[in-house]
Amino acid sequence: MYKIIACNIFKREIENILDREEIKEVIILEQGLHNTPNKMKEVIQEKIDEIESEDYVEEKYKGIILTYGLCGNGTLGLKTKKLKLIIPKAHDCMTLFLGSKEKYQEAIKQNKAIYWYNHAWIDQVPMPNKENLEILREEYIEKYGEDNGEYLYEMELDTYKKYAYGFFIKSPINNDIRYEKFLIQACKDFGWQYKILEGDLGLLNRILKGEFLEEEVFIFQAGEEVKFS
Amino acid sequence: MDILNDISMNLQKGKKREVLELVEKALSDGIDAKVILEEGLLDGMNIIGGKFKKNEVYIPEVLIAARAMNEGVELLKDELVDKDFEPKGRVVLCTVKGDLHDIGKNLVKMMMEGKGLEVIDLGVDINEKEIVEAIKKYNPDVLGLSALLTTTMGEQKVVIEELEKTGLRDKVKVIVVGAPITESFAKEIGADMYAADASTAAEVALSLVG
Repeated sequence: MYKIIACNIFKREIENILDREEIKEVIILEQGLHNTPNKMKEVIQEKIDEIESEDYVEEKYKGIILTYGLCGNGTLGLKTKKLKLIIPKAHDCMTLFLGSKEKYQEAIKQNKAIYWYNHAWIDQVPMPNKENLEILREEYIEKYGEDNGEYLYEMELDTYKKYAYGFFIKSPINNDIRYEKFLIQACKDFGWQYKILEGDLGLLNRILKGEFLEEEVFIFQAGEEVKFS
Repeated sequence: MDILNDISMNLQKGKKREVLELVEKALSDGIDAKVILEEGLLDGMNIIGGKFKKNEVYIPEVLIAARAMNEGVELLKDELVDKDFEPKGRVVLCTVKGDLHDIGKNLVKMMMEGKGLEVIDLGVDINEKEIVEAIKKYNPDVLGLSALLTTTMGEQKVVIEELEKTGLRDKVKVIVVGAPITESFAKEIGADMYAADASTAAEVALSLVG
């Protein structure tokens, strides 16, 4: 059995892939830790230490699996004392939603000016579209006054206009059309081109089930510090 | 002087209109433009920078304070030019190729300007050739390279290699910044300095030009 530390962005996928008993071994952390990589490292390290402080942990678990990639280098420097640590070979969750790092590389090969969307991101984060920006604008105006609020809103808007593409990763487990519509509308709002990519949960499935392929995961031994070369 | 303190206080709150009125008044009271700049505008910006570093204020507060600072500096520009006021050093700054994140880079710019440095902002998604051209054109003391993604941080290395190839590496100090950047990465790619946040980047830049 493995202990799993997962980002909330994979909540639905995990519930779909693992059975009830396996889910008990999953610790879900809030989405968005990648924005502050140092804090992310602290939070995950704390969870690792908690797990390893349990009695007979080496007999109980074969290792700790993270559903995190580099994620802004928030996994860099993590360390276990007793158990193996398994980390997907991925920059971020897009690789896990797409199904392989090769698919991800292929997608960003031509142009990196891509804003990525999928069902989990749309559900959990106020993803950029006109409507969400309008909400932000009102919040800014309320907090900083009309003049500064408009200024901050314009800066935000300029940021999104620099992107060229909105990519949507279709989920094999959640095909509600409203997510795709959200992306298409956002692309219209910002003048982006859009592309729909097929998602694949095979990679996440293998990792969560403890099927580790050398090309898909890093395995760090107890006492070894996480490093990426 | 009270009016300089008022400028600083209003700037910290991002009150642009008040800052501009006070700067005008200070000038008409005969206060030296350099004093207004350093003890009013830059003082306020430095306080905000310090608070930002300690997480006491957030990005929007810094942005509106910097806006007030920049417009205040505009009012002083003619006076400062007349008096041959020299910035403390020159920085060329950008976000590297393939990376569109500009808020972090803008914060670095604002903090650097708050330290009295001249900053030439090349923008985002700037490749190594464009950077080399800018180094030749502006001859800066410092080059600041920002990367927010693990997919683009390698571009910082590409830029440093390009500087070496073109014989410019010794002419400019390179600071690397961005959320995924670490001190050991900075060393590995041959950067001069690493800064963990925008305020530190400004302090580091100042130390490199001094």
